[in-house]
Amino acid sequence: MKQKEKTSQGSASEDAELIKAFQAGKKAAFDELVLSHKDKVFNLCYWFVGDYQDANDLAQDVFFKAFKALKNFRFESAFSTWIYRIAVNTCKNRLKSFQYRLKKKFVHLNNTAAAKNNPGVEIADESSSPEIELGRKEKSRLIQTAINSLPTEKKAVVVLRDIEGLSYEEISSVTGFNLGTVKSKLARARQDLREKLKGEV
Amino acid sequence: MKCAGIKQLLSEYIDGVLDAQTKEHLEEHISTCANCRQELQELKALVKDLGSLKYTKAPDDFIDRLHERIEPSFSLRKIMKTLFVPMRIKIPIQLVTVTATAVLVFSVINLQQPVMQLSDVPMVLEKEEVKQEVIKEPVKPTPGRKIFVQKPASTKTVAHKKQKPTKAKDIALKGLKMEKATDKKAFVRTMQKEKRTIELALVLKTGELGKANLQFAPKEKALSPERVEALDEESKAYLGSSSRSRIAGKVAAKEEVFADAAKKDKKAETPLPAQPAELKEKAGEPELDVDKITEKLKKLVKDLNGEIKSIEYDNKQGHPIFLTAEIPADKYTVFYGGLKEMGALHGPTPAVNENKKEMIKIKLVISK
Repeated sequence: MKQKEKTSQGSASEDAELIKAFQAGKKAAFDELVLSHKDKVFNLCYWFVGDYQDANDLAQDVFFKAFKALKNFRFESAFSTWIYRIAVNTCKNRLKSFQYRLKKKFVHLNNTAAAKNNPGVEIADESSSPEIELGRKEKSRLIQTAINSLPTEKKAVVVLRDIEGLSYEEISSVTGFNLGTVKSKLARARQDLREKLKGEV
Repeated sequence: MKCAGIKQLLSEYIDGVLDAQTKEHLEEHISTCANCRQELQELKALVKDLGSLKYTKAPDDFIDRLHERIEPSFSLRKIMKTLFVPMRIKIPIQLVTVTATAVLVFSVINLQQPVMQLSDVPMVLEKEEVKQEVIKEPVKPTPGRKIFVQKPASTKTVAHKKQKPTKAKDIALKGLKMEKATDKKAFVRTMQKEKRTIELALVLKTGELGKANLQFAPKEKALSPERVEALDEESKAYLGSSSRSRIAGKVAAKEEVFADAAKKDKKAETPLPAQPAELKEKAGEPELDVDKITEKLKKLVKDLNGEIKSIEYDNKQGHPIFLTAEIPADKYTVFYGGLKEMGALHGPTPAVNENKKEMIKIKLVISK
């Protein structure tokens, strides 16, 4: 599946061409970039904050920032790395924001009981069996909760690696951590998740 | 390798990024350690679960929503930016301008207020006011010095003179120049009433005052040529300004004379600091010095059958700074010469045909 997503996202050289076109004044080129990258950005945002609406707002912010900054893009990294970097920073800032913390607290206080019975996010799925579907949703919810409880940096690394499928080098480029840090943070994030999900999944 | 070390490498082992040797070592350990094998299995399952999570896609209207946000930045936002962002910068500037204008207008109005009040003064009162102006007319508005010319003002002449220009004056009062205009008129009246007033400026000689200064104002050393020059300029400026208010025609000629006199005096003064022996001796008694000047002036006026009207003294050093006197017109030449002995003198040089019976008024400004 990851493989499929990757191929549908277009290559780095195509992105570079589109950016050049955009910088030359062809504003429509940006739409193509958005179309090929919106889902992975959205997915990252979703797993980062764990809320569909928040993820939508964040992904919008990410592309809006990208739109404003793209004319100064200097091709020092791939567009995908660049957009991931914007996404991770945007998500980090959102998690840091007082507004978000307040909301999280508020939602937590109100929905602790309800959350167990409500998967919260409706994800379009074409699974055949309702049982499998239910089990999957439950698993997804549990994993989501576990990821949410991770500290931001560990979360960024594990989402980028295991959900977005980036290589260690790409993660290093997106987060700015050196390779060793990426490896150790990922190892610890996985350990944390394993412990949190032990016996539940 | 212990289990703790192995467990740290499991993550990399799953991703297949371990080097061959470490990998071999790890596999060897796992084959014997059930605990680590168990953990590896769990981690593998976790990674698989994470990888198989439903890919949450962006909503269908994602790009439309983005366009809604971006497009205003193409059109509306750009307009807003060009209109309002520079406005944000402009506002303070405009505010500053407005504030500055307000302050300026306010201060101008405030400054004009006395003038306005003057223009509102009824006609009868106005006469009184003009009379006062003539009586107490500041000669040189130098801060720290209070000098007033005391003149016996005849109300009749003033009142008589006044009648004509009242109407014209009413119009003139409206403007800012009003004050100057009245000043001028007052001066003209004074001139006509009092026949002749001669204004003189005396810059006392360096040698004499240098000593006096050392005695009375130790901080201030003997006058430097620059200081003398500055004083020259000062007195010249003063005379220039007063002569401006004199009757036209005389002005140009006088100013030329002043300039000449100033030049001469400078020449005479700077290269010849040595004074007559008599003066030096007198200067040797510093206590008498200040009085000496006064005494000299008094004697000079008395010798000429003149009369001293007033003497103003400097507050700090006690030497005379302003003197008004009346002397017979024919004695002016002698008076002029006498003053010239005391220092650099600026003023009209004596004319040959002096009316003997006429008394002339002398206003003398003395500086160091």
